[in-house]
Amino acid sequence: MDSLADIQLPNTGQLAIPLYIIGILIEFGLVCLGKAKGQYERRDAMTSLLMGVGNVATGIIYAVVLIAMMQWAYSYRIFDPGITWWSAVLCFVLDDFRRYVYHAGLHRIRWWWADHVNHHSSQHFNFTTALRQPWTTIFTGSFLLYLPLAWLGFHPLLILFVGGINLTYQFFVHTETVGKLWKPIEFVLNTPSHHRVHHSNNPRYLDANYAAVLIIWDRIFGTFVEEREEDVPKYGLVQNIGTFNLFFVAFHEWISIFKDVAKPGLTLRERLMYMFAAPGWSHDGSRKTSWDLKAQYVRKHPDQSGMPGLPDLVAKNDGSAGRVQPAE
Amino acid sequence: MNPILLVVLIVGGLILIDLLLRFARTPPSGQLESETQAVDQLCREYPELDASDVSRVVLTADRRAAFVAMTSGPAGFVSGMGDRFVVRQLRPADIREAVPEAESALRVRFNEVALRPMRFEFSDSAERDLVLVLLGAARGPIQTT
Ligand SMILES: [Zn+2]
Ligand SMILES: [Zn+2]
Repeated sequence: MDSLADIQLPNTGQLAIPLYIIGILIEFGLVCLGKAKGQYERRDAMTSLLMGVGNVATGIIYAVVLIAMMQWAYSYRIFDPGITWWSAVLCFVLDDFRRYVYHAGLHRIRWWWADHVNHHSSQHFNFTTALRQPWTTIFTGSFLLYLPLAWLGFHPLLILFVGGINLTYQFFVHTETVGKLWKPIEFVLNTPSHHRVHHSNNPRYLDANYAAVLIIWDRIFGTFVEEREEDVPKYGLVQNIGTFNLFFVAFHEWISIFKDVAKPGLTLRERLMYMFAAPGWSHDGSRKTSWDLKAQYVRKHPDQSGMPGLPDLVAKNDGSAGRVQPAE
Repeated sequence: MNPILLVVLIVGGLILIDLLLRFARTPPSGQLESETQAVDQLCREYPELDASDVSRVVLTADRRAAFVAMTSGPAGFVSGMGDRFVVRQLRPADIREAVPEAESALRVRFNEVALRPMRFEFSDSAERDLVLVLLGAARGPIQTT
């Protein structure tokens, strides 16, 4: 194996930082001048930025674990494509698919959601929101999802390199300044419009558009929902947090999980469900999952039944009227 | 990149952005313009609720929070969060403690982690007591001392 010191690839993560600062200044300037759509609120923006700083700090530990695990998997690689332009492109596409799968899991498994909820906890959507990142990713075990790529033969530094490009791209989709782009671009790539949908708590937009760079994964797997003019995105969580305190922003869902799991009188299955079921699951049905909220919306707006992002509450003659079918 | 340069860049960027946000035109604060706005916020977040079922709205003196009494079911709660709002239905299990303070204030601790303790000042003690009853009604006997 090439030693890490032999490989010369730019550190995309670090190089992107000036780009992020310039991007925020330009977006903020345009918003202030009334030249672009969007809103900034100081405490919200600073919370997002400080979450980003904490993410960089905790990310050092995560990176050490990740690189060690990938090196281990790479030593058992089954192919050896080396570091070439085509292996970089292939690695980028496969890593982008990995990100899609992981992101879907982040929204559907509460243990992972406890980490990712931080990225969604702002009620604003601007470039600072992109940097509102979690501090607890190491607890998700998500580094395991990188192992197949290293085992396939992609060099760990190549995986980190394409990942850096991917993350840098994602920064730029967190904005309201851009409407919809040229149709072929909207068809293939994740765009500000697609990611606005992802950050919205409108029922039809929940659990949609998990893409990192290529939106085609959502189109293929049925999780794509188009931004609609008549359903203006409302950003944030289904239940927004009432604090700018960084500790509670970073850890509130983890604390909630532990409080739920520790409730007296639950069965083992119920305790496990509080950890690993979809966010919003509860043993007594007192909370609502995304699907409950979508179904509730459709019951109020029956004409929307079966539209992208909404369940089909089909009234059939077989007595199954009112049953909720996931839209996928 | 040199780590010192990286730290300087991050810290400098944060300070610059913070200063710009402080001095730039900021959006209106999360203040409720009217009782109707509080009800609108509540019904938007909980579409199963009907505005016609609202029996009383109590705004805090600074208009940054409102408690909404319904003819039946749990009370609604709307609170300013930056320039936006946080909305909840308050059920019996949601209140850890509601303690009257001074003439017309109320300190509430919630059981939810993401809602930190809040202190509300009302225009008079009657409104404060009404909210206490609202929260008490939502949780049965209430610990007020
Ligand atoms: Zn997400
Ligand atoms: Zn995002």
